[in-house]
Amino acid sequence: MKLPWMKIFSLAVCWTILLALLRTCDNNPWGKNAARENTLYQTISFEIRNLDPLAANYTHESAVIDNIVEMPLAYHYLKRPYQLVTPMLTELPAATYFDAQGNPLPGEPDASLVARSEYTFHLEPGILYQPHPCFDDTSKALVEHPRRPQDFGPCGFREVTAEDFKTSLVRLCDIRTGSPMFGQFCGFLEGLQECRKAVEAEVARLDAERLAAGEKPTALTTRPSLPDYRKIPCDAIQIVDRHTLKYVLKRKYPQFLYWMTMHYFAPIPFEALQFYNRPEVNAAELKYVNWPVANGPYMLDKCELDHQIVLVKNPNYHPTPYPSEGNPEDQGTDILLDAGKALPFIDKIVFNWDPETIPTWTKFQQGYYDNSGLPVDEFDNAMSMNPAGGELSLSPEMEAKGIQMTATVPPISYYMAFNMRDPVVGGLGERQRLLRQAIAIALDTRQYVTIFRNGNGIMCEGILPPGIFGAAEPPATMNTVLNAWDGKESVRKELSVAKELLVQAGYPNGIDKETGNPLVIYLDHAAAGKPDFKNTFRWMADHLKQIGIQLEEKGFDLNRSRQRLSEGNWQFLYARGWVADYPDPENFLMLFASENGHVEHHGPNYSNYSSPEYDEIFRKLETMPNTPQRKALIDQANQILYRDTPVVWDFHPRNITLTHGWLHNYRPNTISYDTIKYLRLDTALREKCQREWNRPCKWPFLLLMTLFTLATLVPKRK
Amino acid sequence: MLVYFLKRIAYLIPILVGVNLLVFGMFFLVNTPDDMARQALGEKADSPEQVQTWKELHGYDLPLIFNADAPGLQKFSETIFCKKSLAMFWGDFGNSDSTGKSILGEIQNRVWPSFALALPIFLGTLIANIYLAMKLAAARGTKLDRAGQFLCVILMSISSLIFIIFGQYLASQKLRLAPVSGFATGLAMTKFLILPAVVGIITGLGSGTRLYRTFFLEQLSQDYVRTARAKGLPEETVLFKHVLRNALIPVLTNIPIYLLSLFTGNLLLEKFFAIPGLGGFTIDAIAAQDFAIVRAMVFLGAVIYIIGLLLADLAYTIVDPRIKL
Repeated sequence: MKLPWMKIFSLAVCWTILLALLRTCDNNPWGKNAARENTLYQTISFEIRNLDPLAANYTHESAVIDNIVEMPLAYHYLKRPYQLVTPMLTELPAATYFDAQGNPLPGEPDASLVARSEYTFHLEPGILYQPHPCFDDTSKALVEHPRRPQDFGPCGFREVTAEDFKTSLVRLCDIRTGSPMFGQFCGFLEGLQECRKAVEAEVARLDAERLAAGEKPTALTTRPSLPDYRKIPCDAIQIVDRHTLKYVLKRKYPQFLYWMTMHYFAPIPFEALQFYNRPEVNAAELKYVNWPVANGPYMLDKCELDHQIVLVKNPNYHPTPYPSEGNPEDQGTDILLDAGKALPFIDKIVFNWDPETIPTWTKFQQGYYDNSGLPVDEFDNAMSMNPAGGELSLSPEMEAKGIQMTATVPPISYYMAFNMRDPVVGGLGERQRLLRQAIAIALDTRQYVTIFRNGNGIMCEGILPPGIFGAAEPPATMNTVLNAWDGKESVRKELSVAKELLVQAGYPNGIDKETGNPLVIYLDHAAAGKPDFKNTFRWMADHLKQIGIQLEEKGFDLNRSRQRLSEGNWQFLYARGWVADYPDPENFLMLFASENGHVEHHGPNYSNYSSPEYDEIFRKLETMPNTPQRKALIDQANQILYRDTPVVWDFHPRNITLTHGWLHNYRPNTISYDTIKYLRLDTALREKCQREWNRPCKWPFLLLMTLFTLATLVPKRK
Repeated sequence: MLVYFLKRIAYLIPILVGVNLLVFGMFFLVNTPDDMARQALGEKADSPEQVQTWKELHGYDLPLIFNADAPGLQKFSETIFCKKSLAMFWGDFGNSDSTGKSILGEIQNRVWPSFALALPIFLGTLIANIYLAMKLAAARGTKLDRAGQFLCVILMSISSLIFIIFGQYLASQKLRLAPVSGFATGLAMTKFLILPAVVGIITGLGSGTRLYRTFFLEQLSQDYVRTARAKGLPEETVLFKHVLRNALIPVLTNIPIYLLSLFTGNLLLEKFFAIPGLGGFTIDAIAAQDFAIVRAMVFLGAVIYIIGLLLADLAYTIVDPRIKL
């Protein structure tokens, strides 16, 4: 018999290719030895626009930046309630107060007496910036097409000085920086508006000089003029000496210290701005907003915003020990095992761009991401109800993998606002107030959380989330206008109560007694494309229908929605949220102060609520320390808000974080994100688990190839 | 042919101006420069002064297409349309409105991942479609043909999203042979591209095979096929030498569409497999109301499409010498 040599040869080639492919194939996205390296892998699911500490405003941007910059103040990693610590300072700054005549006011004076306050910051000497070519005057491009600052050399470094804080603050005043905080900081820092004008004048002067020197107008936009921020006067900051600076506030504002934990006040070396303004660096499209230079525990090694951001340990990071004490219940637990050891523990952090939920979750389950949130769609697969206590816990499969769950209620409040300028639902009149209360009762947010969030949230009593001083503690200080105590927990009142309130408001069964027309409420939203909106809206409409109110939706794109908000041209607003900037009740209660009205003052009081009674109490409690007197005032403020119901108090979300067993020292911090330096990895365990969980399954391909071989070689019947 | 070629190139200019005008009109019908500024600045930084500064910095402080205050020709040249859209004709794509990065640089960086994904999909789909369509056409009316067509209809009916999700589940979770998503440069990228490429090929298999089958069926009924068979040529030679060559014209007509995706990327695949290509770039730009990127990508797409059509015309003359341009 003649052998089909051609077929045999082809099959041999196919077999060789298949075996070679199968030998190299695996699902590891990081490479063969990656698990062994001391590298943390995390995901970025939302677009990061920039990493400029003065302009970045989203939590996912903070998650990266806060590990690059270090702030003068920070929150204690382990202790709760949150406590301030001083990583860069010799001591916690204390305020000095002055009256209108400039005379010092002793102790804790009443806010109304204070015309100026000062905070003096004493920097620890010897805190160094990361190595960077900006600190060496002789640095130049080392490669033909530089793509990273590291492509320039040599690198230098220098000490962080008081002047760098001035550079930062004056740059924040530069309108071109686009800092979202400028308006808010003007509310308490002295002379920022004047500083902005001075920066504008200096930029105009520099632009004019460049044009006179023959540069084209387009050059001013491609390489904007850089004013020397160090020399521009700014009343808000005074440089006392190399390591001492003073912030000047125009009123009493103790929350200022909390702001000093945020990256908006990060020190910026002017050399870095000069470096990125060099023509050759500018031509290489390297910008400070993508490559910040700072003094934090990590520094940028790779910045591809649409693919991967990689941070590596900053070799100049000043010695910082892991905390040796935490909450009382932490004593003797693993969380204190690393007490006193030098931070950071992890050498490298990879933030990998993964915009879709399924790949992110799959990689976490495969062990390729070290931690993860819990996607809503995966809730049933990952969680199970503990039969004993009815508490949620991880599914046995997840527990078997050594995954740990941490559930926290971050200081976030969601609400649905009424426009207090609207003639139907707004205003402080009795009729409108009763109508708002009826609507709020009909929308049972506890049920909403159960249906749409798998129970992951707590029904709001008011605006203050749990853990914030003065938050409602049912049944003692619950919202009795909308809720009732059922013996175990606070629940929404019956619909009959809402119906009765509608009758009192002059809308029996949802019909306007005066006009005879049915009552229609219009819900403004910018969520038309969001998958859960349709169901949520149907749920809301059904609930309001039960008391006779018709709910209609008015969907707009984000811009149009924001424009309508600014104009006050809306009635009822879908799902707004407030994430705490700092752990103080003032940060939430100011959402209802008249001075923050969105239409009139462009502030965050989106409901445009304006109550002289509330304003007076808010002004008193705003600057007080957390004392029983402040608590009493907060209770009063809460009662006014409960009564007026300017918003439907929605829920405080419960975040679930999952971490693999090889990630140690994880403690959620829902206020700041400078926490990766405390984490430690057991890379040997990670490598072992990854190998066990991801053994390639090759037999289906071998079987198919065998069948194909047989089909090819067996002679066909003619 | 040269005259034809030059004529087609000349057509390119009015077409591109028209495309530009259309995109410009559609974009600014639903957005204003103020909207763009507010979107870029975010909710907390969109004070009127900041919006104005943003517009000045990004060149959106001019009238859209007619500047009544300007003298002479500047009435047209000192407008957003002229400064932004027409500048692309001399290769100035400008900078992104949201990130400030050079769009040309971004395209240069992203075109390779897109190309690396689209090329195997293009070739794989083309070869698989032609092979399967030819086999089905040759077996016309048999059980194999009916089963094949049924399978094609099933493949066409399933959303490409399902293929992606199932592909990720099977290849990464169950067989554990490919990363579920991600990207790397150099040779390492192969590992990340195999799965999306296979998914891309399977997604295009149903419609392509059915379409090509009709092209081949038409040829199979021609006299020259009967003659070739009568001469005793092997069936494979008849199909893949004679029929294929004659059926190539309609196949070539279809190719520019695929060619476009080689450069502009596959939106869905890039998004789900986290490939930093031009598809995701365009989607993100639309979401961020980044007009600079949107107009550049549409412009580039139009140019590539027109060049693709031109190349297809040239290819006609190669596969069928009777065609004169």
